[in-house]
Amino acid sequence: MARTALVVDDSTTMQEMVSFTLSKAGFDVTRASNGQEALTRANGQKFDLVITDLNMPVMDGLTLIKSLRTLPTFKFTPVLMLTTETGDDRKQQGRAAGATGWFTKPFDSDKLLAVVKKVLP
Amino acid sequence: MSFDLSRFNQTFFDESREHVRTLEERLIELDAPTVDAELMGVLFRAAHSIKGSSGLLGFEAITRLTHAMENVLDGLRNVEIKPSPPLTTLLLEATDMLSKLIGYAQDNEAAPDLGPLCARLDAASGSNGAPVTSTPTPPPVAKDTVWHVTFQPQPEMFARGQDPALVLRELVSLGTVSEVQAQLDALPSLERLDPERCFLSWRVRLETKATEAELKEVFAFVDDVATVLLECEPAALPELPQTVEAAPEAEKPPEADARHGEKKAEQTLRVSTGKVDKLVNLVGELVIAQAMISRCLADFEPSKLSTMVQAVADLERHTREMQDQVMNIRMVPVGSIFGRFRRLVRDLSGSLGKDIRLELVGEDTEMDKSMVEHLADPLMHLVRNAADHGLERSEARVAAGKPAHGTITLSARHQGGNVVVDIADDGAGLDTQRIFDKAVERGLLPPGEMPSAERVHELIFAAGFSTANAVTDLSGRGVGMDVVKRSVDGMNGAIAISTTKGQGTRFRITLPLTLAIIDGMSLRVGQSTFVLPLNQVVETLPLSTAPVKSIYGHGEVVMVRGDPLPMVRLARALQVDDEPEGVGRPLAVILETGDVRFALRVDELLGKAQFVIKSLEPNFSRPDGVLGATIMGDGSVSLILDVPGLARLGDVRARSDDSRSPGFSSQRALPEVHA
Repeated sequence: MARTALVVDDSTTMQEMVSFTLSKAGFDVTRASNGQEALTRANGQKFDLVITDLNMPVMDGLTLIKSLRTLPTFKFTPVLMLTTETGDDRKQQGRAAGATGWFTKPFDSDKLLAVVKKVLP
Repeated sequence: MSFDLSRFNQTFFDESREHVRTLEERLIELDAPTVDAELMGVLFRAAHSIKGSSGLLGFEAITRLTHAMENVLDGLRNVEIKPSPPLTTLLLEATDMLSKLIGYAQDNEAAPDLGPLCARLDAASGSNGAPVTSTPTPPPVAKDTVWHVTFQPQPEMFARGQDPALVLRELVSLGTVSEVQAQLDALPSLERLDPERCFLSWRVRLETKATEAELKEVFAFVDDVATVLLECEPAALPELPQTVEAAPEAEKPPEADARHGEKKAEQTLRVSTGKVDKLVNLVGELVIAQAMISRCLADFEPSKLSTMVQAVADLERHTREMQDQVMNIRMVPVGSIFGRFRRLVRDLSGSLGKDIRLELVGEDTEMDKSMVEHLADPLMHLVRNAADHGLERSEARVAAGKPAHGTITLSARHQGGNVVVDIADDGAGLDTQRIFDKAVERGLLPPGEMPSAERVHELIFAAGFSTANAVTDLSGRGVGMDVVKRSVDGMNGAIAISTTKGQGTRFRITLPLTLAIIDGMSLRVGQSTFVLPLNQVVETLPLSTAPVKSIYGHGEVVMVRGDPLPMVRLARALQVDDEPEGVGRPLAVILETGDVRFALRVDELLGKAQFVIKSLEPNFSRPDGVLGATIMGDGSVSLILDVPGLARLGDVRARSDDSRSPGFSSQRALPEVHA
């Protein structure tokens, strides 16, 4: 069975790039454009991987990660956050919220898959 | 696994346009006395998001401009820069340019010089401009080194979705492992073991070319939940600094080839995932229902008839739901165009020297996307008109005891199967006398007695009619209201005016929800079948209960509860044969459109259903009284009737307050508005 990934980003372009890369790598990708939407999806389905942007409307990435970690099905799921070069304190906040790792923009498909490999067998 | 990024261009253009719209609509709020963090977040995110994606896709001009905008917005967000109207104007100007740049990028055209604009933005943000570009330094080539790596996770490591095995595997992939030791000391006895916590640690001897930084990178995600020690075996030689010819990154052609010859941008529609999910579900249901029917038919026997009937009923229900959902996909909130009027009104306020406020009501009201787009231009004209002609200058307003600032209200709501959009101003109201004088001057009305105010007001929709004393740069170009009327007619809608002297004017546009499908009533006249839009049908009466009278010079009227209504014989209007008098039981369908109400005589009603409108225009010039054609359940083709057109064919006139006239006339006094 294909592995499943939840991609959360309010930028459609970014959402598409990440989703496209993951689906090329054999993932079954579900998309959401903010934390709230992602949480709704996560409540009905288990995912093998979550990749989320941090700065989003409605519900930001940090809140999403914290909320995910309270769900039994997402207790140990790898969650990657999308950050920018200068986002060092964001990284720390993300880790404190329960993020597994991060992917630093700008987007690069090989780089993304390398990061995914770090957290998913 | 790299791929051509240009495949994301269209998504980027669509998304960027949305962000531009957000900027256009919300930058204006910077003029408000207090600016909240939410607004700043939205504005910053819009510029930031475009910058990020454009950089990646190689649209340099867009990156440069959004970078400059982002700096200003960041300064505003961090309260380092104070908002001011000139700054808002500058940002709006930048947004206009951004919108153009997206167009240029899409059409593969060169961007104009951004220097002066960016310089102004940079001056405003106090930054030096040019985006920070980091030049990648090639990693120095290293020799094999032996490392002793200690990796001791904390018990909580699992709770962050970490897997120590993956970390070890990655470490191992960097070189050759000669020894791994697992430390089991911390492992509790089985009954006390909490499987959700990590109690193991490892020591690895690794021979690798990797640098210390690369080794650290392996532990990047776990360095706060694990103790990591990297020890270099003493025998290893210290790394010599090496100079490596830095090969410049091969200049990537900016995807010009890929884009070259790409056809004009397709129209796209962004749909919420929820709506798509519903559709997917429905398709599933359809497949099941269809499978049931197939199975039933495979070895059909009469006893299975009831199952079959049930299955067909399901199929019908799902198809109907599916249709609703598909139509729903095309529905977008009308707010998507309302927002742009904030900018318009701000600009108008400035150029007209009037203090104008815009109020928006019912922005969430959904309507068909193509309708929303068609509605934008007429609304633009009406808002301009309201600002230019409708609202008085502040002095005049104060003199009349009204607030100094004028208000234009745009509102939308659903009403039955229609969307009603109102454009109201609290200005002086229409000047009936002036319109009458003008109409006489233009030869649109005979001089002498003035007809009812409503009739006079409708003249502003006549082609070439303008009452502006001086031609301003906004309206008064002699086109406008007639174009508005034509656009609304083109959408199968109606526009009505109501005005009160000294209090204001309201234009009400009533539109069907969608252009593609209508709820209709099918009916028969003689041998022909027709469809009437249901939203214009008020009621139907058997003509046996409603007496028909002939009034000399005025045609026929049907008495409905004592009131005379003009009657149009459909057969006569469309020149088809109907059943002769005395045969069958003819009916009167009472129709209403805009201000016109009349009865249509038909032979039989066949039923209500939804009909897909097929345009006649590609093949025929549309005859009056006919909206389009549709394909009926049995495959035959019927014409869909156009109620306003029928009223014209039957010479039915708008009801007036004048009780002497039953509301029709045999002769037209109003000029033909349509070309």
